[in-house]
Amino acid sequence: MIQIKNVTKTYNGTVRAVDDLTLTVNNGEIVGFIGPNGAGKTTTLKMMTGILKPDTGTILINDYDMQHDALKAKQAIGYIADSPDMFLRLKGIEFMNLISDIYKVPTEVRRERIKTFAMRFDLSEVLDKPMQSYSHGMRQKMMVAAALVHDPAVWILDEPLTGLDPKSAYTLKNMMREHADAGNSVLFSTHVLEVAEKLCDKVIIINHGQTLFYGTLDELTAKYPDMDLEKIFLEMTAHE
Amino acid sequence: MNSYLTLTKTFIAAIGMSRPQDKRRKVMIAILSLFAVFGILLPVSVGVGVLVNLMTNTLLPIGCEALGIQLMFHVICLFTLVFGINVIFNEFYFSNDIEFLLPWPLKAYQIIASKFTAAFINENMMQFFLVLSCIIGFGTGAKISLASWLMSIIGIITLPVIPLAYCGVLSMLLMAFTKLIKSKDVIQKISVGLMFIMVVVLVGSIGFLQNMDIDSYVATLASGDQTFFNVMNYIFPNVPLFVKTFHEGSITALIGYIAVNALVIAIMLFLSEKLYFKGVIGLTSSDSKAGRQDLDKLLAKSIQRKPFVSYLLKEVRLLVRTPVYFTNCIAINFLWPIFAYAMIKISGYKVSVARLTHYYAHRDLRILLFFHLGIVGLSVVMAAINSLSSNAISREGKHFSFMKYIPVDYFTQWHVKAFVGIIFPFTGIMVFFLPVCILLKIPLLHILFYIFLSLLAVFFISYMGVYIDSIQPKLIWDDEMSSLRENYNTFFAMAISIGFVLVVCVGGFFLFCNTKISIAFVGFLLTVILLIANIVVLSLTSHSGVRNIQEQEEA
Repeated sequence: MIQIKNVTKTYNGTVRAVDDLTLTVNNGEIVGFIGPNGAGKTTTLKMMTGILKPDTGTILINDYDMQHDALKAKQAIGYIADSPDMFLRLKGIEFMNLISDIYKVPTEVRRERIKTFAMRFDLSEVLDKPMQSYSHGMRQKMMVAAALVHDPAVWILDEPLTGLDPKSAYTLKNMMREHADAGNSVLFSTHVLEVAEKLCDKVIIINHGQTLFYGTLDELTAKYPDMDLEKIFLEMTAHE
Repeated sequence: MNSYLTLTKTFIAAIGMSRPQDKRRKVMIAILSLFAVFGILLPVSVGVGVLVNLMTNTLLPIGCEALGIQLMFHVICLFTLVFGINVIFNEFYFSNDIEFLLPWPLKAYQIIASKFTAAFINENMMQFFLVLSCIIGFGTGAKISLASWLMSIIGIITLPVIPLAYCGVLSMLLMAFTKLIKSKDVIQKISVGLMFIMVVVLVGSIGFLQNMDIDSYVATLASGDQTFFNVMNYIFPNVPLFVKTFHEGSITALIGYIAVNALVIAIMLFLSEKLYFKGVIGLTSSDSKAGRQDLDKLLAKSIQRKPFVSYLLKEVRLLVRTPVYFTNCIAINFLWPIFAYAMIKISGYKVSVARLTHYYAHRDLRILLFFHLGIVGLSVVMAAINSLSSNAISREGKHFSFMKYIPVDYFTQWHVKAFVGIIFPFTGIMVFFLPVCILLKIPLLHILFYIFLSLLAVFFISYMGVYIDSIQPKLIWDDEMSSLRENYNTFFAMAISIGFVLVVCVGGFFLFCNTKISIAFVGFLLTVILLIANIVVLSLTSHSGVRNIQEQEEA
């Protein structure tokens, strides 16, 4: 479960990237984070993962405070960053083992999980190669597999479907659904409204760091009858 | 012209380091900057200026007063040529911005001219101060006119243009004729190999200075034998023209100097139109030598390790597999004997194993003092010169966030980075130092004590380096070379190390010579100083160091 209470973040003392944000992602839910470029989505995700420190407010991951109990909170998270170009001189298998070691995944468990991910994302052939020889999509798949190798309860994914081929995108979406249905939480940012529409239990729409809407898709469409999600999004963000 | 200016401004903007936002870091950076200026820049510049002044005064009676400064300028050009190769290769062919530049409607000469200008500005800072101090040393010795002072300004700023342009020409020629090798890594290794060959040739050629003292040098010059200058003047024609400009106040020489520079630049740009795109298009990052092991075999090797060990492995693998880091941070630890050889050659000291063994066996105070202070000085310099620790956080670049979101506490990550900065220089020192000890039949207890001193010194410099880099790491960089060369933290760490060596080793030498302290007391004093230094730096790490990382936001 993710609980964010009155979180604010300002850059250089002037630019307010996130303004008094409050939201809860319950266990069993997939929440889509939607907003135009520069709305504050990535900043929020980075505060949730401990990369950025909020100016005010609290962030709880599975009841662990990210400020005061950071290691336990981080241990519960599987995070996919917005760029997959990480440690490219490592081989895929070395990267997977690095992440497994950092998250203390036992030998037998990691072997099984790496094998599963390798099969599901067609990574078997490339695991022994340096990641700099991978295509963008292949790197993204590697990041997804590495982020989830320790079977975290909370998934925080920044544009996870970018660069994935249709099969891998389909696999990941299924995995997200399975994970939430197993009683865990998934929060992901996206610009693709159709994905949010099909996959999410709830959506949060933000702009200029402020929440414009947070609730189920049914609640959203009820507020704006006769409009599809795209038009609703444009309508909401245009009036900001 | 507009494209050139815009590109140049963009490249230069990428060079600088971001400024700290909070007051605490601003103060720390200001202190480090002062230390760098007064610890390295000024002492080196003043030293070079004084040396040129002495040479000028010595050569004045035989009418060859300009030859001293000319020699110095040739040496500066030679060093720029040797160390510029890697920089220019990197700037022209390996920086990440190239893949964005190639699709743009730019001519090769525009890209090369802009990149050359940016590299020149980035590389020229130290040379600028050296050339300036040479001119001051010469000007005050030879009492040149006001016009000469003014006419020297152009040369002070532009002296390294020609050696760097040579690097540009050389890199383009090599790249144009290595069509079969399109892997960046392989070419990068070749460029680094080229640099090392040039260093070895340079060091080897020092042999000719072996028996040269200033009197015999003056006598050689007075006899009219200026072979060295004749050769060097052909290679660097800008040097004699520049010297003639301010020595004789010659306008013609100044025009000649400008013309020679313009000609070399024109040749480089002309060649760029013919060769640059041939070499740069098709370069790939991937190395074709990749394994293809069966998945089950790979998984069989996948075993759980402690996070510390795994993080350490990651650091080492990245350092060893990245050519720039491998040469600048790893290989350099094992090259110090080459420079030690050069120093011995220059000093003209005749090393004899039998004599040194005899001295040590009889506990000659000079050799004991040399070993005590030498091992500390060598360890400090070696741990600083490789930039392993002073670049440890900057190296993360845009992946800095990885340090923040993984469930490994910052102190552990810090230890890993410092540990990397300890193992390589320490191994590099011991690989050569231990055989020397065995060769000189040094008692085991003494060897163990020297190892202990070396370890303490390397430990201190490594933790200090990481601390300095934590204050304001350079996280925005375009390629690995930029993370090293454009990172002032490596310069700051070097300044502190040199300051430490000056205070502890040089100070220790004078203390021993001017008081009646025993060699055992010197050893005790060194141990206490190093222990205190380590306690201070560990305390800094656990308090403000970890805080620096916590508060550091991404690139």
